[in-house]
Amino acid sequence: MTKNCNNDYKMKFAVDEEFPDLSQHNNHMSKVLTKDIYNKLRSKSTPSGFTLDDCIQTGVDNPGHPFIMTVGCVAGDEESYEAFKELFDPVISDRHGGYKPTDKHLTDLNWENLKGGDDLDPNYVLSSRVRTGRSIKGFTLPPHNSRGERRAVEKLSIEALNSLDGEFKGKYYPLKDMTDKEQEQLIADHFLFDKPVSPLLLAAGMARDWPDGRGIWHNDNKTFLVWVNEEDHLRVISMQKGGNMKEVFKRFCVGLQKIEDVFKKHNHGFMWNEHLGFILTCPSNLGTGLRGGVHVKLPKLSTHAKFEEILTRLRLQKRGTGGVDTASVGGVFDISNADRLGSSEVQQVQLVVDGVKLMVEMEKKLEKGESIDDMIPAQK
Amino acid sequence: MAVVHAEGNVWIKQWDHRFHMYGGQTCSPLMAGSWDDRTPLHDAALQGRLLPLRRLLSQGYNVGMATLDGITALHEACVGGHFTCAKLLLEHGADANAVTFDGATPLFSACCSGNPALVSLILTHSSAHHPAHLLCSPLHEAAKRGHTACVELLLSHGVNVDMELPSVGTALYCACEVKSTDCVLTLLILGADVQCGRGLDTPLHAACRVGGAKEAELLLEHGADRTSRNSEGKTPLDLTSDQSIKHLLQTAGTCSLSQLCRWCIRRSLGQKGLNKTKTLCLPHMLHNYLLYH
Repeated sequence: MTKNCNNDYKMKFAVDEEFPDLSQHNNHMSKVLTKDIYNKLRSKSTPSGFTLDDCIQTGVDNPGHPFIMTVGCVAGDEESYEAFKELFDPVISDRHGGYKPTDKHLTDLNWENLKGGDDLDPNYVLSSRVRTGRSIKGFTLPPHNSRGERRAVEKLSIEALNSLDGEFKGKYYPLKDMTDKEQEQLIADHFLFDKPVSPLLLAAGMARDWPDGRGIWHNDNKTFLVWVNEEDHLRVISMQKGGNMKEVFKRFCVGLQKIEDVFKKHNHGFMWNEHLGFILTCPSNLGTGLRGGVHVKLPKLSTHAKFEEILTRLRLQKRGTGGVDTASVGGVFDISNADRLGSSEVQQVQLVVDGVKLMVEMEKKLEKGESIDDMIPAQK
Repeated sequence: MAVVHAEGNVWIKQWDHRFHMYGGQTCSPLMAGSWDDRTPLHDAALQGRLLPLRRLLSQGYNVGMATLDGITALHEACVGGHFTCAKLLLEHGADANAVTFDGATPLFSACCSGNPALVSLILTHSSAHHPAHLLCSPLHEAAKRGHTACVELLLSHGVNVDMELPSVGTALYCACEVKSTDCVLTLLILGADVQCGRGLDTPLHAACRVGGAKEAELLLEHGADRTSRNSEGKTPLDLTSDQSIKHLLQTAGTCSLSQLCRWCIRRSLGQKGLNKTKTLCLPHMLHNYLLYH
């Protein structure tokens, strides 16, 4: 291991003196990290100098929430997941439904494998989107990277994105050089991101040097968007109005492939391995890192006693829309896949397509005053 | 002083900028994960950190800032059970009737944490004691968690004790399911209908199913019908394997006329009537007889 003078200095204290107080905590890290694991791993650091204490700081500083489990740790580079395996493996298992250290992840970005998905009822499905993150090989991750690295990621990203043509032709907007007019337009489009205020992200070091090296790129049609150096090196999203998820997913897959091809030319492909799939900063996003979702109107189904159970059985989750697509958020949900690791991109988007289709049918039935008891799905 | 004032203005501008940029949300909904939309205000409120809460509010932080799921700082203060923080937020204009995307109100969140002083505070600021969303009932949540003092507060503010939620049942049914003896007793004394559970399933069915002997005894003392059949045609006796409960059900004898009269009167009065009965100038003996004092 590379010499890490700060970490070496801390070793003068005994494990009992250095072990964090996790007595009030409710996150995956706090439930997994024992004194033994801490003792075993605390002298280690990755080649770039990321340590166990660096991994867990965000989970130590943010005790968590009684009702929401966060993972409570981050990776600082590609090697973190291997160097601190004894911590990450049980966290990953807890967070990803029992995924084992010996399991193999599936990757499938062939949009033609998606069945259906081009005919979700636009009267109910207001918009569709697929988003994910990518980490660029050869650089450390946002909690840890240096200014030089962040700028190099931005530079490479601009080059890659500016080389796109056809439906992917677009423009990059660096956060630090944005005109007021550009800012207003990006706000109106709901595209702009700002310096994080979430204590979880701040404690993980996501907001250092803000806004240096950060920016937003989108294509001319505003259907393909990339955030640079936010929580991950790249956050990518394909989206459009209406219920044609197949077209959204096609653009997603084609766009990602084009971008990666350019990065590979510079010997900087995306971080991926056969166990964890695509590697991202937060363990909760390992695998596909994908969230395929729709904004869908379900005013009656959402007040049905079995709504939560239906979502769980379909392996879907719901969130608020934050006002996107409708001035009134009543009854409009952002429904997306719950899984990330252990199933492929196609499989995860397929669950969304099939699940949303079923839920829209249920909604229509409830509108007619009919029962949906015979439509309650089995556990997927 | 001028410098301090100017600095305050800068802060106010910064927070307002964020509030308007995202249309009242804390961050862009496009890519946000499940924690990106938490703010320092939410964090301080959840953890009961009064100093940063005061400071943020005095700097002009918008008290109504909500996450994508509609969670406000007041919801979080209530989840954490922090009376002082909730009070401060309300003084700064927090909406006591704010509803999250899941239908949770601050009152619901307060009932989760079970701080009676906090529940009382929210009740005085809130106009809606019943769930905005049927699945998030403060009364049921308090009953499920055995927060008896909160149950009493809710009922004294006029919440319907016999409210039945689909697939959940009544508060009494919930309390029986989790064997919360104190809660069962309180609900019964304050007027809960001993036969109202979940559909045809009575509270006695629930108590027997989970082996709640004390709860079963209380229910029987308050007039539960041990011969009731649920939608599967089963009586409470059919649902229990607990010997003491079986014995209890099989040996429950004839009730005294006094007991039958009391049940009959209480059932006629209902929750509202019983509440008003407390204020009548009844003879002490009669008062104790009707209200189980």
